[in-house]
Amino acid sequence: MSELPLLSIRGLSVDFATSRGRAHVLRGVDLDIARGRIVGLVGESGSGKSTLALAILGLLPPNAGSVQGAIRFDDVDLLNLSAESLRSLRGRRIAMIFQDPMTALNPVFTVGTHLRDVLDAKGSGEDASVFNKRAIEMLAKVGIPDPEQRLKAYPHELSGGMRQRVMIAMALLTTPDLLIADEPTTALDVTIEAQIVALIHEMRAHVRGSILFISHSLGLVSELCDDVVVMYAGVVVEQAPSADLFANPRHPYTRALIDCEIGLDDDGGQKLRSIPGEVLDPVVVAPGCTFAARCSLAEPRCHEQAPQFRSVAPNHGVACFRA
Amino acid sequence: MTRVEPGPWRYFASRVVTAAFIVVGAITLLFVLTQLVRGNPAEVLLGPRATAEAVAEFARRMGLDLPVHERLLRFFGQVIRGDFGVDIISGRPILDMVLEVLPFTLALTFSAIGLAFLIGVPLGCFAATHPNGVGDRIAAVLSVGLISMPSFVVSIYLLLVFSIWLQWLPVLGTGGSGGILDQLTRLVLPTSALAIGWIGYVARLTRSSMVETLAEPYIRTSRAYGLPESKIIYKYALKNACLPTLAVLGLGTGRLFGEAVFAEVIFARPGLGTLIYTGISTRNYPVVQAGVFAIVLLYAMANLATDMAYAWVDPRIRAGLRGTAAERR
Repeated sequence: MSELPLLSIRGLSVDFATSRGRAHVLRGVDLDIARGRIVGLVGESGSGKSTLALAILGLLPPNAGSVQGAIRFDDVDLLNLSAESLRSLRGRRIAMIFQDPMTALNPVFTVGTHLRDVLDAKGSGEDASVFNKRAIEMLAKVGIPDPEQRLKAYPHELSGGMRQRVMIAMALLTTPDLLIADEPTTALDVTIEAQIVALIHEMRAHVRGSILFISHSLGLVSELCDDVVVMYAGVVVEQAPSADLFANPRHPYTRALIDCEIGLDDDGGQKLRSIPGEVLDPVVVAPGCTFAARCSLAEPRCHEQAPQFRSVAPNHGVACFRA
Repeated sequence: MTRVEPGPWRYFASRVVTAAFIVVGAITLLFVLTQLVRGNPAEVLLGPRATAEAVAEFARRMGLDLPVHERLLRFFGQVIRGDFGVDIISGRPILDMVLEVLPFTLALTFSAIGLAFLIGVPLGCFAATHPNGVGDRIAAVLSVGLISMPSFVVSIYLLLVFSIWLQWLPVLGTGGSGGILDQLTRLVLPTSALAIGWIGYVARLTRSSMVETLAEPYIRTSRAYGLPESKIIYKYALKNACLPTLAVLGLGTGRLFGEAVFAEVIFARPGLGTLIYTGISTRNYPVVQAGVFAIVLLYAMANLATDMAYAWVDPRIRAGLRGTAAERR
């Protein structure tokens, strides 16, 4: 990992204007995505995972007030890019799979229109018949039966799992350097979820770049990812290769998360665990560690100053005084 | 995976049946109304010195001696045969009278609704893509102003400014004997008078549904894939955002057939409006009935066309998964 990371985020802070005041959704995120790796981004709902993904693409909603820090993609500074240059990166070098396939596809256009326009926006200079052929090939590749017919189907004519496959086909058609998958299975049934995860696993071979896989499930991430990034209340608290993280979790929050997962090999009758307390309110400005209020190991300085992200082992970083 | 669709034909059939109900219902109401209006048509037409026998004979020839339900049945019989009888005053077949003026009303109405959409939709799109900007605010004030102005007031101002002060456009009439250009120039003022309120309405409606659509997750998807902003707005968003606007198209066209009465009378154009207006002032009910029937039929057809257009734009309506245009209004 000595070469330059594909994506490098430093001190990224995003505030949203809300009726209750400024919501600090991201509070100085540091994150590296190495080339050719699948990186899992884990955290509770509201920890800022989706905001991070949208910030990378420059698609934050209009009420996102101030965006500070730096996002470097290859040698491009994404936060200081013109709208037009940013647009030309999207759908060419960065692609995204969204959480809810029910609303992410346009209801009045066919699957074929979606796929053809993605190819068209990529500007490969080919004509519509080539687009059709490539769209059909890609639909077959993501496991959609009868792809020629499906090209003429509207989103409402497909099940949730099929729609997510269409979304994945759209993403793969762009042959991106970075593929962001934002909880791609959360809106699906468990059986369909397993199929989609298997598909993403399979797709690794077809994506030459890196994948940022966002999930609230540590189990899913451990199955799929090379590296894991744990987020809590708008900061990255721990980042490590998967095996290392599960064997040696250093941050109290990571440990608590692992404890909360229901182990399939556990004996029955074990009580479901949860982390006491609530996620830090994003409107609150906390001088110390964002997890301090819920942390069993917290000491006075945890409430007064924020711990810096530091390396504790090769490629293993953590933001905690006690780790 | 693929849901079974009830099919577009079933949808079409259900819309046709609805249209038929609208026509029958409206005509029935019309007959009851003519019964309630005071004044015996025969007395009005023949004057105060007519004998009772002459009045009775006249009423019989107009078919007014029968009870209302029999007249109604007779009228629908006439509709089916396509023969509305002969006008007692001019001695001409009533169907000919209606068909003669129909093109003038159609030209006026369709050019007005066409103008309203041609200006209103782009205005709404512009306002939606520049929310709270100067243009949006100007468009908002302009739209509300245009909506609140009654078309007969607008008509008189237009006549005053463009025909009398500036003398750019002809005052009255259709230029029936003149060339197509003459007829078109004479269409400009009445069309503008009718369209002006609808421009504002269509612009406001397009703006609000466009703003809503642009916040949808599928628009974010289009942006995430680097589609050009113009394609996102005029293809991906507009096709969704035009649905509510399309819904008022049918309603608007129908209402315009009625509003055309004002414009036709003020601009002294022949048309269904003028025909009905003179018919009412002389209590010439057979002509009024045929004229109103034509308007009701056009209204029902405009609604049917809207429903079809609606289903053409939104595949979920074809599949019976969503409400029709009428249910959205």
